[in-house]
Amino acid sequence: MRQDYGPKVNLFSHLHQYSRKKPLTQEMSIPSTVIHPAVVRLGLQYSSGLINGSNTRCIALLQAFKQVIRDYSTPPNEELSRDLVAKLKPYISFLNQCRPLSASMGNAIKHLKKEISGLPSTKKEEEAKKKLQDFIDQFVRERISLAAEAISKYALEKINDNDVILVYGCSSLVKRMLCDAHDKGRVFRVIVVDSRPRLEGRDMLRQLVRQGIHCTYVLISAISYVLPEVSKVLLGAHALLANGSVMSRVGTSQIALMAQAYNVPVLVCCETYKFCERVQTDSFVSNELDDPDELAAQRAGVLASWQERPSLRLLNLVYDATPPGLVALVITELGPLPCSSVPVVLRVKNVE
Amino acid sequence: MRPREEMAARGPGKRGSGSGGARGPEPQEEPPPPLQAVLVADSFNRRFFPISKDRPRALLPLANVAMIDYTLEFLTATGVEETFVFCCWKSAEIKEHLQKSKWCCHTSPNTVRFVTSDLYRSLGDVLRDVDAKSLVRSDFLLVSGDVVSNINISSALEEHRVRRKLEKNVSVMTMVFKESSPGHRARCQEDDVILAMDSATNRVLHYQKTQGLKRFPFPMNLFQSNIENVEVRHDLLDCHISICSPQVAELFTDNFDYQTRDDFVRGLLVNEEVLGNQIHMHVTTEEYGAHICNLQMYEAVCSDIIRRWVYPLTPEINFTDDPAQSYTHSKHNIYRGRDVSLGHDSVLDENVLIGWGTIIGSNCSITNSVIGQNCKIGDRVILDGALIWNGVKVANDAEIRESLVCDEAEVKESVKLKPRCVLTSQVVVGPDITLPEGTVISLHPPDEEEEDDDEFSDDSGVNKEEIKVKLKGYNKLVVGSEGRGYLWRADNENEVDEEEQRQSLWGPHLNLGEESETDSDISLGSEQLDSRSASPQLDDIKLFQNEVLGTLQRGKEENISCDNLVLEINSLKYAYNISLKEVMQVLSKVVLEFPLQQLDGELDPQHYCVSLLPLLKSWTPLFKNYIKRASDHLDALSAVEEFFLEHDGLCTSMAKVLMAFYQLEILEEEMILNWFSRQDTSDKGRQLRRNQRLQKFIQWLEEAEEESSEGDQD
Repeated sequence: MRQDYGPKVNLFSHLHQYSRKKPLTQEMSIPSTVIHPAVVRLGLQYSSGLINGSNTRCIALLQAFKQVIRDYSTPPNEELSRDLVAKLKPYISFLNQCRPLSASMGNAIKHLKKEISGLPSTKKEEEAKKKLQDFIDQFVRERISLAAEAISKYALEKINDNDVILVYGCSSLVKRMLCDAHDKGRVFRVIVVDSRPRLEGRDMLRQLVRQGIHCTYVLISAISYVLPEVSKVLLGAHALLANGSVMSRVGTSQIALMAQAYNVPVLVCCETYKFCERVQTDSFVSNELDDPDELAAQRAGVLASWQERPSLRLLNLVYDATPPGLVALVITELGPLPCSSVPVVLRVKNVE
Repeated sequence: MRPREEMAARGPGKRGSGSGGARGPEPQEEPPPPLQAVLVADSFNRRFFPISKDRPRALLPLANVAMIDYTLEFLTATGVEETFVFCCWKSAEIKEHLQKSKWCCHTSPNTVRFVTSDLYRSLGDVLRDVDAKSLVRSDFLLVSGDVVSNINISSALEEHRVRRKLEKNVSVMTMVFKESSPGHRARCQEDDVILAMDSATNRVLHYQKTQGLKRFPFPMNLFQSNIENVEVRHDLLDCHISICSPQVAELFTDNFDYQTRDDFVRGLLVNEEVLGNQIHMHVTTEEYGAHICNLQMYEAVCSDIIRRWVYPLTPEINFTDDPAQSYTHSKHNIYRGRDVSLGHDSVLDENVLIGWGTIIGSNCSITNSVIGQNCKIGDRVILDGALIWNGVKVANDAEIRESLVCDEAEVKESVKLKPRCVLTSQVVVGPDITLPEGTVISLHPPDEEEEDDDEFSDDSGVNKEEIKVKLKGYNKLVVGSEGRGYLWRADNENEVDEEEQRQSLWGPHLNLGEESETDSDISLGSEQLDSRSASPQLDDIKLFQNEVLGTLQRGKEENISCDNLVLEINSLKYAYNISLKEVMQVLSKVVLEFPLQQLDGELDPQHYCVSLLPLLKSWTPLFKNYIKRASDHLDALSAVEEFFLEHDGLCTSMAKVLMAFYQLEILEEEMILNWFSRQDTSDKGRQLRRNQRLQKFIQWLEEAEEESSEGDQD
C-alpha cells in the first residue's frame, strides 16, 4: 500500500494524499511480473501529473489496456473471459494507488469488463482478443471523439456573435468547442479564468490565442470584476452525478454561484460516458487530495516548513460538486439536457 | 538632508523607493555624490522624417505625453538629481516645452540644465562636449530622449559602484538590458543584439547586432579564456540606458572616431586587453524599458503604455501634472480625458485613450487607439490602432487602421487609411480615397530633404517657402480632390531609396521575420565555413608538411636525435590524421626540398647535392623508421620522382640522390630496379628515366646485383 503524505485536514482524513515529488517507484514495490509494463508506465505518468484531464486519462487507460490484451494469452485450463478480468484487477488497483481513478475511467473499465465477461467461451482466443481491441477503439471513437464533435455542434447554436464567454481551467472539450466556433466564423471574446496551483488555464489561453481568439486572462479571485460583461459561462465536467451535481475542477461551483448572482447562464459540457450513478451533494465525501506541496511551491518563503507546524494543514482539493440548481444546461452528445436528466440517460444507456 | 525633503515634496505617483537604494540608507564613509544624467534629446538620424520636421523627436506625443517627459520621469524616479539635456535639432522647441513643464519648476528634485549646440552630429560629439565642459563629476546615467522605462536603476548603480570600488576604473560602463524573448513586440529588430557575458561577473565579452542574421561568428578566445561560465544571450532587449563613469566621456574624447554607443562598446571590447577597460551589464526581468527608434517601436511602446506595462507611468497617473492630461481609467484600458463627448452607439472597445475636449460622433467603433486633445471625430468612423495627435479632424465614415495622424491633420469623408500610413501636420486627405499601405504624406515636399544638407539645423526653413511656392500643386490623385500634402513614399526615386525610406520610418516590418528565414543563410560566417568544409584534407596535409619541415629544421639547428624527431613526426601524424603513406611522401618531399631553402631557390645540381647528402646521412634513421615494407619503398621513390619532375633543373642529380639512398641502405636495390622498370608512368616520368646518369646508375645497380648473386653462388 502506498503511504499517505503529510498531515491532512481532518475533514478529509478519509481521502488519500500523495506527494508528487516522491518517486512512486521508491514508495511501493511494483511487481514487474504481475503488472504489465504499459500499465506501470501509465501509473507513473498519472502519479507525476504528466497525463491530466479526465478525457486524456481515460484514453490513455484504454490504450494501455489494449496493449495488455494484445500481449495476453490464456493460461491452460482457464477461460479468457474469467482470467482476463481477474488479471486486470491488480492493474486497476495499482493505477488507483497511483492516482484515484476518475469517474470516466471507472465507467470505461466497467464497460470493458462487461464486454470481456460477455464473450462467449466458444470463441477462439485470437478472435476474442481482436473483438476486445475493436471494442476499445470503438469506445474511444464513439464515446469520446464523436461525442465531442456532436457536443461542439450543439454548442455552436448556443454561441452567438459578440458573446463574451467565460471558461475555467483547461477542459479539452470546451477548448475544442471554442476553436470550432471560431473556425465557423463566430465572433466572440473569451475570458479564461484560472486558479492556483495548477494554472491549467494558461494552457487553454495559449491554445485559444494561437487560434486567434480574443482572450482575457484573470485569476478566479477576479471573477466578480469580469462577470458583469460575461454573457455565458462554459464549463467542462469531470463527472455528472445522478442527482445532477456536476463534479469538476475545484472552483467551478464558485464560478457557477457567482454567475447565478450576476444572472449569467452556466452551460456545462459533458460526454455521457462521464455520467455516473453516484449521488453526491457535497465535495467532502468523495474527492481527491493533491500534493499539498504544490500550494507551498509558489510561496516557498512563507510555507516552506509547513509540515513542521502542527497547527497548519494544507488542503489541495482537486474537485468540487456544483449543485444542479446553478447549472442552466448540460450539453451532451444527445443534445442539450437539464441536469436532472442524468438518471434518465443512464437508464436508457443501460437498457441498450 | 536636503534631497530627502525634496523627495517628500514630489507629487503622488512618484516612486520614492527609486532613490533610497541609490543614495545609501545610512551615512557611509563617503556618501555617493548626487546622481547625474545626460539626456540626449536628439537621435542624430532622420528616422522620423518627415514627422520630426515639424516637431523634434523628443517631443512626439506618446499617449499624449511627450517622449522626453517619460524619460525625465524615469530619471527622476530613479534618483537622478541633475540632468543635462543636450538638444540640437529644434532645440528651442524642446527648451520651451521643458521650461513650461514641472521639471523646470523650482520644486523639482531633478535639476534640468540645457546644453544646446547646432554642431552636435552624434552621441560622440555630445559626450566629447561633456568631457570638454567637465559637466559630470561622478558616475552618470546616459539615456536618449526616447527611452520609456520604469526600471529602478538603483541596484544596477550599486553594482556598478561596487565594481568600480573593487577594481579601480576597470569597469567603465554598465548597460541595462531587459529580458524578453526574441520576436517580442518591444524588441526593435534593428537594435537586436546578441551578446556573450561572463555569468559570474556580468561582464560583457562580446556584443553584436544581429541585423537579421541567423548565424553569428564568435571569437574563439571567448571560450578559451579562463572564464568559468560564458553565457551567449539573445533574449535581451537593449533599453539604451547606461550607467557610465566619467571615463566614458574621456574615452570618447580620446577616440574621436566614436560616433555612437555601439562604436564605443565595440571599440572597448576590441581593445579590452590593451586599455583594460571593461563593460558590464545589468539584466532586469520584471520592469519595462524600451527605446523608440522607429515608428513601429513608437506604436508598440504606445500600446504598451496604454496596456499599463510601464506602470506606474500610466496615462491616468498624469505624472506631468498637466491639468489637460488628467484621465479616468476604466475597464478594458479605456482612458477618458475631461470634456470628452461620445455619440450614440459609439463603442470604445479596449485600449483607447481619448484626450481632453475631443468630440466623437455616433456609431463609431474605436479600438487600440490613442486620440489627442480637441479632435473632432465624425459619425460611423472606424479607428483601429490609430494614433491621432491633437486637433485632428476625422470626417464621417472614415476608417483609419494602424496609422499615425499628426497635429491638425484632416481626414475627409469616407477616406480609408490602410495600415502604416502617416499623415504629418496639417495634411488634408480626401474625400473618398483610399491610401494604400505605407503611404506617407507631408506638407514638406520630399525633395526638400536633398537641399538642406544641414539637416540638424533650423535654417532649412529659409528656403522652404520658395520650394513650397514652386511645388504648390498637390497631386490630387494621391491626396484627394480637397487634399493638401506631398506623397513621401518616394515613388519617383529609385528603389533603394524607397526601401531606405520605408525602413527609416516604420523600421523593418514584422513580416520580415518570415522572409529572413530564407535569406538568413547568407550570414557572416557561412562562406568561411563552406570553404573550409570543401577541402579540409588538402589543408591538413599542407599543414602537416609545414610542421614536418619545422621539426626537421629545429632538428638540424638544435641537433635533436632522430628518435625524438620520429616521435614528433608521429605525434603530428596523429594530430593531423595523416596516413602512413602520406607521411612517407611528405617526409621525402620535405627532405628533398630542404636544401632548396638554403640555396634560395637557385637550381644548381652541384650545390644541391653537396648540401643534401649530409642531411640524408644524418636523417637516415628517420627514413629507416618509416621505410620498411616494399610499398613504403615505392612510395618514397615516387615522392622522389615527383620532386625531380617538379624541379627539372635538378634532374641530373637524381642519380646521385638515389645512390645516396642506396648507400645509406634506406632504399634497397631491388626496389629501385622495380620502380625503374614500372610501366605505368607518364611521359615525363619516362623522360626522366631516360636520363643518362640515372641509366648508368641503374646499370651499375643491375651489375652489382648480378655480382652479389654470383658471389652468393660461390
